[in-house]
Amino acid sequence: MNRRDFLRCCAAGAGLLLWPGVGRTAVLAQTGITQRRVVVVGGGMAGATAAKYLRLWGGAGLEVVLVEKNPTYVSNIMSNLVLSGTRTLSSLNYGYATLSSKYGVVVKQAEVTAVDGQAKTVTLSDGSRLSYDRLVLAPGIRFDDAYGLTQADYAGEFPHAWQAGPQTQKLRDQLASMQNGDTFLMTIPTKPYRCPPGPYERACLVADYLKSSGRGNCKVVVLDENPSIQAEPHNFNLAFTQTHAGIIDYRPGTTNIQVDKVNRTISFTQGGAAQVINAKVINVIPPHRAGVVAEMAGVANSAGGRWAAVDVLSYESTAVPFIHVIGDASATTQPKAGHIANQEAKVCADAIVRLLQGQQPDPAPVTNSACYSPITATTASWLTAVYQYDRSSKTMVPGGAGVVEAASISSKNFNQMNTWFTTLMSDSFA
Amino acid sequence: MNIRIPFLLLMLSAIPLTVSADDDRDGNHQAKHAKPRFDTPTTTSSAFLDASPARLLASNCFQCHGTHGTGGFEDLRGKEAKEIVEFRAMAANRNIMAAHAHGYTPQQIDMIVGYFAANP
Repeated sequence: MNRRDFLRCCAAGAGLLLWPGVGRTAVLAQTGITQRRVVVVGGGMAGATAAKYLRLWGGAGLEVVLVEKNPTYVSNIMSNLVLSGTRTLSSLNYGYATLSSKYGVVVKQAEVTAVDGQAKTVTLSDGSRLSYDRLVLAPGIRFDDAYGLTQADYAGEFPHAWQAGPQTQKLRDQLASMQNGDTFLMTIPTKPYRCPPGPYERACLVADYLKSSGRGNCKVVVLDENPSIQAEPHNFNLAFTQTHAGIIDYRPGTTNIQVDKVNRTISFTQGGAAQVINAKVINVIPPHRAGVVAEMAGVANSAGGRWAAVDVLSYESTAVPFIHVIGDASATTQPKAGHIANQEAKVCADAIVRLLQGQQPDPAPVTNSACYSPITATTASWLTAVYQYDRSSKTMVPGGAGVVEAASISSKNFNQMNTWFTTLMSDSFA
Repeated sequence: MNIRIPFLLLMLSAIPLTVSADDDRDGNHQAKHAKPRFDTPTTTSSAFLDASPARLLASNCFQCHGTHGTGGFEDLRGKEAKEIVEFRAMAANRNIMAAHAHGYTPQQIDMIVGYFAANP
């Protein structure tokens, strides 16, 4: 018997799954939970974190199966820096091997083809069927066909690049091919959308890239369906009117957006006037909704059916019991963003562990949102809020000073951004 | 292999682990660190894993300070974390930690501080 086999044998006998240290495996809580299974669908920020913390806090007797169709996750956070050439797309890849080796998460690369909330089973594209005690859906978002564009257009000449991956590289290549004097045009959908500061950050980084690469006569036109800047208004207003003045042309309150694919023009209404702009690069961020699994499971029950309404004490669906929805797919008062998705996942994991032990979820959960937003290749702003559970409205509301943005844009913030990103990804995937 | 003795001791006694191992690419394990170096606690009795309300509350720190407060901007383990209290005196928009410090109630700050102080 080699040592590894010996370890497995002893671990099973002692009720311990793994010895801390060996093979970098983590110690798991001893909860008394046995022979229970939670299936997590979706391996993004929310799903990966949920899988990790369900094992960490639920213990070895809680089997966690993470179902994800892709072999690696590509981080949306930092992906605007791929557009500006500061980062490579491959630097944003995160795999699932550590969740498996360190925490004992069972990772299945497959798509979900059916969810039966009555029988509590999930059917996968490989034909297998998994029963669950609790199901956690973290399917992220999918995009509407909108403004005259379809999914094929997004995958082709009109990348939204609002889901990091091949479209991010495509948009980067389009930007690189712009000539001095060309126009880059982007659109922002009505809230709620993924990453509130993200579109404004993108406008800044595109402007900064064009300027710093000798194309200062280019224009970056931003058509915002919202009436005003949706995040960090002070700093983005400063960036638009000072840092990137003369390049960024910000147009709030835009309606009737329509893309002419052949002529590469975009028509819209703003300030009561119909207008048309011709652009070399058109980057539409289409309206989005919960990933398809939410609909499949019958939990996309928010107004308009776009998102999944949940009880924020546990993230259990208000439509189907024993199914929880976390991250961007859920309808809450919290932003759709990776940092807070990580914390929603912890609240959900803690609640599930308690529920499996016959207890109630924490009655006063707290979550926090934080992000750094690059303004140039060397400077950034930040945004943060701590959300407290409000008993009367049963929602999460910002505590203390509310939603806070940095007093100023600085290079110190840019450096801190890298620490934040590295640590956040490690807490989610490692 | 020198790992066998501490390994057996651990299994038999359930004492807190004070020796950790490196797993190199060949699969060989060597005990060579006087202190645990992994970013998760190395004792099963650790209060890091106790299902107290403080655990979930303190996990809000993990995104920026590492799982169980082991790194990132600052290692929080075993500290009284007085700094977060000091940040409450600062305007929220001057420092991202000040903004966080304002977001929690004094009671919640006490719970978080207690959680890390109790976990060296």
